[in-house]
Amino acid sequence: MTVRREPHGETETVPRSDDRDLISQAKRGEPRAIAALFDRLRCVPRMLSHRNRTYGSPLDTQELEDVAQEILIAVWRKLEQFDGRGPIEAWVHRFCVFQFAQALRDRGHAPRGGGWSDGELERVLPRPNEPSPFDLEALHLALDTLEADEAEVVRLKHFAEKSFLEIAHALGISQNTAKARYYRGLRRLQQRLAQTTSNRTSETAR
Amino acid sequence: MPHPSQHEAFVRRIADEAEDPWEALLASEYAECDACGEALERLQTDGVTELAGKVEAVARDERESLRARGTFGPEREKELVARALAPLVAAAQSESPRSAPSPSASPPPSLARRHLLLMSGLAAAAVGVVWIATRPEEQPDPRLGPAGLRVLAPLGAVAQWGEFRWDARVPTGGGFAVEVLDEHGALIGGVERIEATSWRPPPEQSASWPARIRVRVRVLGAANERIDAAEIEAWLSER
Repeated sequence: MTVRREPHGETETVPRSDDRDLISQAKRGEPRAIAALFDRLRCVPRMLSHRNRTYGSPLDTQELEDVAQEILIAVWRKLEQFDGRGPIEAWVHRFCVFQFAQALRDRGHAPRGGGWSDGELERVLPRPNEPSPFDLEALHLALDTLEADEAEVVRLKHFAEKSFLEIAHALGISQNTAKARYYRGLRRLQQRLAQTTSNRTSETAR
Repeated sequence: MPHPSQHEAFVRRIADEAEDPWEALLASEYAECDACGEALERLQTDGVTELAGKVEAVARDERESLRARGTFGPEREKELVARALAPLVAAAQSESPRSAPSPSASPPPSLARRHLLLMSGLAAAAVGVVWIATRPEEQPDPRLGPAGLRVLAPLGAVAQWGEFRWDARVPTGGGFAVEVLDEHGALIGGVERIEATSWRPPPEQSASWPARIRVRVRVLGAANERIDAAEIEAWLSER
């Protein structure tokens, strides 16, 4: 295996094979795997800063770095939970979604920040007709409640942008079975989101 | 070949009557009929289109995030990752193997093996440092942030919390803040401002801490503005 130096001075000493193998090697303490994993986890500050900028930079640089550190530590501690169904970056992205939304809530308790409610925050974040950070958080949590076969089809349909025909071929099932799992998954999502909305309404009314 | 009328009638009936029309279709003689599936999709539109749109928005958000360039730049990204994870890697390597062997366990590692494990742990921690040290431009030590902040203790497994210590370049009139967080990121202790580079948590504070904590030290300017921060994890080794 040769060491290649990339144009920006980065080095890649481990081929990008199964990400689960990379994590296993890194957790065993193999230096090259650790270096490769560190390089991959640069996606955390990158995705987080992009998210912050997209939503009008509600967090300053220091706050952003603090959240990035929290995410990196949480990711490291939960690496064994990575299921390998997608790249590490996609798995890590969920941490960024949750922690960013939480950081916006916490800002209400920070000495310098104001106490924004979800509704007020949505008004100041400049993304009309797009889901707010809290919508995205709720949807990710709802997606986690799907059965494995439903989640698989929903992710292939939307995240991998596959047609039902392609999904059926990939999973070795009929198109109707793929559709049945997909629509069953959507119904479950609908129920979950309705339940979440109902819970929030109840909490507000107290 | 046009969809047979009896299939169409069947699909309409199950869309109206069955609790789960798709399960009813899969259980029927038309389970493999793609045209029936397409017909059922056309009939089932209440709320589905909007919800599918929301899921698509989540997916689009992920795709955009994965492609994004961010605002930190490659070198700062590397510094942030190393600062967060190098201490955890080092602590994990120094912690294993730790448990006392049972009578039926295999013999403890030889001295040579233990030496190899220790060196592997140190090498792993060094990777985090060397990894970001390979930069072309000259700057103050980037591994430690703009104020050279480095948390020295507690670090990883400790017998007791003891004195918290750190090292940093402090501007005139500056100081530090120490935040102790639990695993959920909730603030459970610390001190708002201190001029020394060490702090011993009062027993009435540390007595209620969990076995595993995160310690965040901030460098503050004369006006309490934040200049630098570093965070590590520590845990009690025997509890």
